Amino acid sequence: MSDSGIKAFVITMIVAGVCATTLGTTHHLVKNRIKRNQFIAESRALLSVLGFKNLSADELEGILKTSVRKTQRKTGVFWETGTGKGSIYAVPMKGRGLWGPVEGFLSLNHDLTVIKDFMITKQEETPGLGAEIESEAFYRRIRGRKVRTSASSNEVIFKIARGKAANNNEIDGITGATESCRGTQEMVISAIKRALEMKNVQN
Amino acid sequence: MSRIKTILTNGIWYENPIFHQVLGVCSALAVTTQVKNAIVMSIAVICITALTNFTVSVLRKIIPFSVRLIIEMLIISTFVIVFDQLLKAYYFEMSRELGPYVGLIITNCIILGRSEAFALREGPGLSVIDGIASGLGYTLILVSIAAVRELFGAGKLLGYSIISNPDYHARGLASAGGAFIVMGILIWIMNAIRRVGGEK
Repeated sequence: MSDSGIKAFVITMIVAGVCATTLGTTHHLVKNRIKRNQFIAESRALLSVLGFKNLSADELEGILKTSVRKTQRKTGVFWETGTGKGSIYAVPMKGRGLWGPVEGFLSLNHDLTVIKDFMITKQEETPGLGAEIESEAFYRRIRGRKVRTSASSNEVIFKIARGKAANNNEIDGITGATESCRGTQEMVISAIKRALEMKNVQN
Repeated sequence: MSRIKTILTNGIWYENPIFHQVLGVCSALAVTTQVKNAIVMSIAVICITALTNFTVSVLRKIIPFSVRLIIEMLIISTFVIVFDQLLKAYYFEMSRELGPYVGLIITNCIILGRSEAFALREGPGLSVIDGIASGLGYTLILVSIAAVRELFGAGKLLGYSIISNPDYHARGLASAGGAFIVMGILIWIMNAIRRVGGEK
């Protein structure tokens, strides 16, 4: 390597070192704040699907402690609020979209026959297309859907159509976001399945 | 003094990064559904362009020519990631709204373009002014597009309702396709103004 080559290498390494140190320091300084923000955002989504809307950050923690019961099982976790016919169950959802992981919460009514609410907390889908799974317009299509299971195999029936829904078992999809919709569909099915299993264990 | 004025008018108007050089168009289409988002994005670009220009200019005499792009990219990435982290820590809602676009400032050609075209040749002071000027040029366009889209797409401006009919909603303008059309029309208007006002 020539002298100038060595010089170029050394200078690049020094700059890279300074940049890496800056990034590391920044991350170290703000990581707790970011973690707390993420916790608040997650809690807000969870409480929102359980019916507690528009809460401040301080109210969130209080309600999480007093009004929500968390149950951890081998197969997963679920949250519950209210009593009797007014109770609502929420389960976390995890799935894969086109570009990356998709996460969110789904809530069901007391006997797990109706989807109460649905919310996405994390997605990296194409803005304007797949990212529309995280929108009020899309949530509205899922809210209030009856949970259907096929009589023979006990499979949960939930289908996001390609385009307009063709029948009662389908909801309108997002044109141009086939993979994001497919991922969301799988995620919803597995979340409902898990909720049904956990409820059966409980009874 | 006239030098500074030239740099400012060039960055904001005559050589506007979006209209004249057609750089940074991707983000200009993506984050312009609301004026608020456009302003935060613009602040990010102004800060990052100014800081990158300053750093590159300070180091310009020791950066070897063969690796200058690598070093410029290192500097840009560092500032962008720091800004992204600060946004996540102090303005989390906005960081969710802007999604991946803050991170994508790294690939915004305006910043690399300015450090290549200006900061490598000029002193730190002028480079900072050049960075701010280009950033302001970007801001001018972003906020204009966002104002049109937010006003006619959602009937609001900076979140306040302007068109009081609650059913008013032009989805076409709120979508990315609408952004293309708004930007095309704005480029047309600005070029017409430039022609009437006479070329520099």
